[in-house]
Amino acid sequence: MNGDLFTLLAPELIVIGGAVLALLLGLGASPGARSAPRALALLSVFAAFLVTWYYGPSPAKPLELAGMRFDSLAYYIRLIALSVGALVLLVHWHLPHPAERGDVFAMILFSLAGIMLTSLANDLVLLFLTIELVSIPTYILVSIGRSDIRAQEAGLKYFFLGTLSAALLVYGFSFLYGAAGTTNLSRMQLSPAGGFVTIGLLLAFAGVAFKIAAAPFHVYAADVYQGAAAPVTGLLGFFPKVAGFVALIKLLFLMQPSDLLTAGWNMPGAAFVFLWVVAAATMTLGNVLGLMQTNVKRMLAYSSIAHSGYMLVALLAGPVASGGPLRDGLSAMLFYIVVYGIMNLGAFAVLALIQARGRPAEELDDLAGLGRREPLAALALAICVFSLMGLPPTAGFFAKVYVFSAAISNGAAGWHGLSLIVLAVIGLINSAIAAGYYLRIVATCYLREPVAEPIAEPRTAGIRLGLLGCCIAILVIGVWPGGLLYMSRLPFYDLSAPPAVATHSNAQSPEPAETTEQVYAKEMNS
Amino acid sequence: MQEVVLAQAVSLAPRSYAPILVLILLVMALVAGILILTHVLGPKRHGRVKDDTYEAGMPPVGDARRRFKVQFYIVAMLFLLFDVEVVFMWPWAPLFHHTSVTGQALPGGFDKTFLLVEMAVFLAILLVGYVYAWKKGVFRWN
Repeated sequence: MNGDLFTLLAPELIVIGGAVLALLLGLGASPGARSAPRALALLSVFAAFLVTWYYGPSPAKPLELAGMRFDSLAYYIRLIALSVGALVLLVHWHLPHPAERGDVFAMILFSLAGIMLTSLANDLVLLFLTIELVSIPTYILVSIGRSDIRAQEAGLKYFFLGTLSAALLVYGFSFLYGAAGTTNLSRMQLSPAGGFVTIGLLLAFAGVAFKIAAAPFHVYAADVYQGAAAPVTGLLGFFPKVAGFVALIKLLFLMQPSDLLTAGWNMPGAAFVFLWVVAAATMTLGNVLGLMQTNVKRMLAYSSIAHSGYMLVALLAGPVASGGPLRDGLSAMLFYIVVYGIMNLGAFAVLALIQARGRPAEELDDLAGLGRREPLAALALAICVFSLMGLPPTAGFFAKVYVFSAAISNGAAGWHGLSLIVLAVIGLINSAIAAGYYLRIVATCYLREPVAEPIAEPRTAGIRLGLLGCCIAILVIGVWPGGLLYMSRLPFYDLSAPPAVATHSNAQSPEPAETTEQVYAKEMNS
Repeated sequence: MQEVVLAQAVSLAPRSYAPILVLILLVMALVAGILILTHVLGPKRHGRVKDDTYEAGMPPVGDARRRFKVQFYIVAMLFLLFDVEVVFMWPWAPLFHHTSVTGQALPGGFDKTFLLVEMAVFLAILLVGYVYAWKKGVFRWN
């Protein structure tokens, strides 16, 4: 019996097992059974994290088995998804009605397992299914337990537009399959790209653009973020975005010649222009529309759109082998997405914690005077918002430094390099525009007289703990970005490495290749 | 060796598209036959409700936010669930038969124990969905 697959998939199996148990326990009649799902969910996330950590990054050759690829990208994505996932669970701790705890925590875990499987997917069919596994639970989370008309609008819009984007994605995949003749990503050789590949890529990019809320597929974001409960909105800023960006990385690597990682991406001109325009429009639209909002949730929704634009800049800059971490756009994007996930979750955790006029804070007026009424919550919000702005010593500062330095120093030949520099300039201007509305949030907390008497909801240890975790993570990464940067550099080395095929007859290569760590150490020393 | 095993395993698959053409023709004949038969044999009653657009028993025009019974839809979804389950079991069955008769593992080292455990996990997850629907009261119709 081949036990390899079950062993390799242990983290995902633990998370899915936890979700299934949480779902069933949530149906129980006794209060004990109904309170179990939260602890069970947190426990299974910790267990999955420990197992992933114990396995470590992939060996020198990534293992390919059953349509999956166990490489360092998967290792990194599994670790960050589980870490941020634990914070997400804490922020949701007090949200659901006891009768719906099982459903809510099971959906979070299913979505989390979807992200982990997306990072493993090495087959177009599996990639599509795993992205949907991330998305479908989020449709449920947006509208579950909420009867007001805003939440229903949000759930309905999110569901129908999400289905449309899934259709675009799978339609694009069908073109890629038609061009390559296989669904296995490692065996797809799409370079040089023909017309079908370009059409397929553009359709797939459009489908993914919805998941990451990039223009022109961003229109749903503000309504959905406003209608959903604040903790769920914090989740929406991370889960679908990670899945979308991982899918983008996997699609872009399809056109990469196997040995060449020196000059960014090797994509068709039309795809480059498409992503360039999407990145520029996403940043600009997000920030300019953010300036016009008076509702903090809508403000943060537009900020979420803008941050997707920054991440697209890094992704477009692409992997660059020489010149250290400041030139590598891929690791800059992988770094940014974690930092964004944490700071965005922290900001929404504050909104979930603060009550004004007897309901969760939402309008800018609700936060007026928060600095005096609830100094700790105001401080936490300030840390998260400053990080979103990109001020040192928060994590958001380094995240932006890596993104824009990768775009500027990319050094791609010809118009690609020049247009990346233009994109970086647009991004920097946008960071300044964004400060306009971020500072308004902080100024309202500290400088304005209270309007609605904001108070922190009592007996909410879970949210408080999650918020504390977010703030500590932001400050620690802001002071010492090296640790996360080291991790985000790992996937870079073996994404293009030829895979080891797990068969019994396969002979091992005569001389063992260097491990990822050895390559990394060599580069750091040189 | 691995390729031989795989070739044997998929040898049940048709070698040409002719059966698919036959299937398409059969389906078209069946649909046409049913339509013609209902047209000829079925009684015809006309009325405001009878001539309305068919929308599975609910009024087709009106405010989208009115309340309606969702039970029918949930039962339909459960039917789909078990329908799809069989679709997955169909390709699994010949592969399992192959591994258990010949004792050979499929490429990747997937032997009959693995296939059996895999299907058991799949069925267990489906069963959870069924239990969930049951406990949520989907089958209580009053």
